[in-house]
Amino acid sequence: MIIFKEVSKVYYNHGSVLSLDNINLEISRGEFVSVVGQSGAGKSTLLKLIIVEERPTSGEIFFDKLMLSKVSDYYLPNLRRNIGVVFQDFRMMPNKTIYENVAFTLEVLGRTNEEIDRDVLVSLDIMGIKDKSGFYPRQLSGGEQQRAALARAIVHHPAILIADELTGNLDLLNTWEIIKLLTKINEMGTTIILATHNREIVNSLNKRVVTLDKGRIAQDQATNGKYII
Amino acid sequence: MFFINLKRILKAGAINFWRNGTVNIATTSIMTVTLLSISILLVLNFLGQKAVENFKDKIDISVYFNPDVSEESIFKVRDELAAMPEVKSFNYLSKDEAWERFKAKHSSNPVISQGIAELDTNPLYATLNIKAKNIDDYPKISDFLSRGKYAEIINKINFEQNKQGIEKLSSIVNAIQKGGLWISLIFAIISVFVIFNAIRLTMYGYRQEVEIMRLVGAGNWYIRAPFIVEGALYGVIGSIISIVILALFVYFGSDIINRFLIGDTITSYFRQNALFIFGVELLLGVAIGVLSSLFAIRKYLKA
Repeated sequence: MIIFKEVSKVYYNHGSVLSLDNINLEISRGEFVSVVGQSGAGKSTLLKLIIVEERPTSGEIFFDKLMLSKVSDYYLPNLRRNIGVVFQDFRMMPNKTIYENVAFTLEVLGRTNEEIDRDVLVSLDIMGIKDKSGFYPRQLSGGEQQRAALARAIVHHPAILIADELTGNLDLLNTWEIIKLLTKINEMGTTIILATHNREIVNSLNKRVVTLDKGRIAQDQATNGKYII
Repeated sequence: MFFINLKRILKAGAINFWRNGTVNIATTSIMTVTLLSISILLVLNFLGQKAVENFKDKIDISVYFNPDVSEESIFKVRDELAAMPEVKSFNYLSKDEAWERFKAKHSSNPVISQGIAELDTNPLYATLNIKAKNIDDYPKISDFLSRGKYAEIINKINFEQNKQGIEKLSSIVNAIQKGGLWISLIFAIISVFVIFNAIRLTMYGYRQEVEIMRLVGAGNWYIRAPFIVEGALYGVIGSIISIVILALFVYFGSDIINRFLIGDTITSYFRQNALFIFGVELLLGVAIGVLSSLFAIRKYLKA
């Protein structure tokens, strides 16, 4: 589904910084992949390349048959409509209610109000925050906001869900609740790529683990992977 | 899908507009001032044109013939003038007619009447009043009379005094038009800057939202459109306020303004042209607002 072929990324900002170095990686449909590594290992850059927030300096990235490294700016919105994204800082739109935040993803797709109403409520129900739909993000706890962000990311049934340190701001209880939800989403067929520092989460998942170190893949444990750094 | 998106974009634009508070008031105010200055320029242009037209309508050439010139000679001049394509009409007043009119006009004045009685000859000249089809034709007619074969029988031509009056009035009208145009242009530029900054400020506040919108797959136009609607709304609201102010100005100032107009009134002019003025304001206001928005949001819409 996603293939990295000899991908390198260099940031040219006050000198050059090599963030990813000759990455070869293949992720299949329906996989749950944890990407681990210390700060600066290149986890976020890897995710940014998949959602084309950044372009590789060299190498090629494929999403199915689409070459991401060459995709035009015009086509980008279409690509991103197939991807769900969640971040550590939730990134909810502060001036919109939880319902409106989740609904926006479907509005972009041109869905009717009836379809939006139905799908948003289902999505919020799955995340256990249906009763918070009329609240603004600031009125919700961190855990609830992250559930809302997850609801927004999956409401349109994306092929792939990218989660960047999504439990970083959550307490232990909420962390495990969110991981349970991620597992549930994965079981429904969505490919998940999770970038995290959390050793316990990775070790308990028993899924594939890709370990990055200084921009290179240090280890790729296909099944029952463990956090080994 | 198009109409669903359009409805959502218009709604989002209206929400952006109302959420902007004081920035919104400042931006709408400067837009109103810009559009008002342009409307006033249109009205001043009308007033100037009317004043010139009225003045031009009163212009003619009066040719005074020497006392010893026979009517036969004067009629020759008149017939030649009648053949000129530039001449619209003429009116001949003989010495005797002029004298009778003068006496009738001053019959109630004993001093003048006594003076007239003491005179044993008619001191007035036979006169030919000529109206040209076009104001620019007067110099040609004047030249024909003063430099041609009839120069010797003509005592005086009074065109030069009128000519100076027309030129002075025209130059005043031109100055008002040019000055008004510059003032409007300056206001328009200020307006573009203010709206540009207002939208940029809004965009700065929304930059995180814009980033999120992009990440969930919103296209640039879907993100951009509500801000364009917001810019256009500044133009729409500004033009409505501006036309209302102009209507009040016309209503309360009509007594004073109408003194300078003959026949027409500022009120009737405004009634006939209010829709046109509003259309011009609306078009310019929306254009300024939309252009400012487009410039302001460009920075935030990298892919």
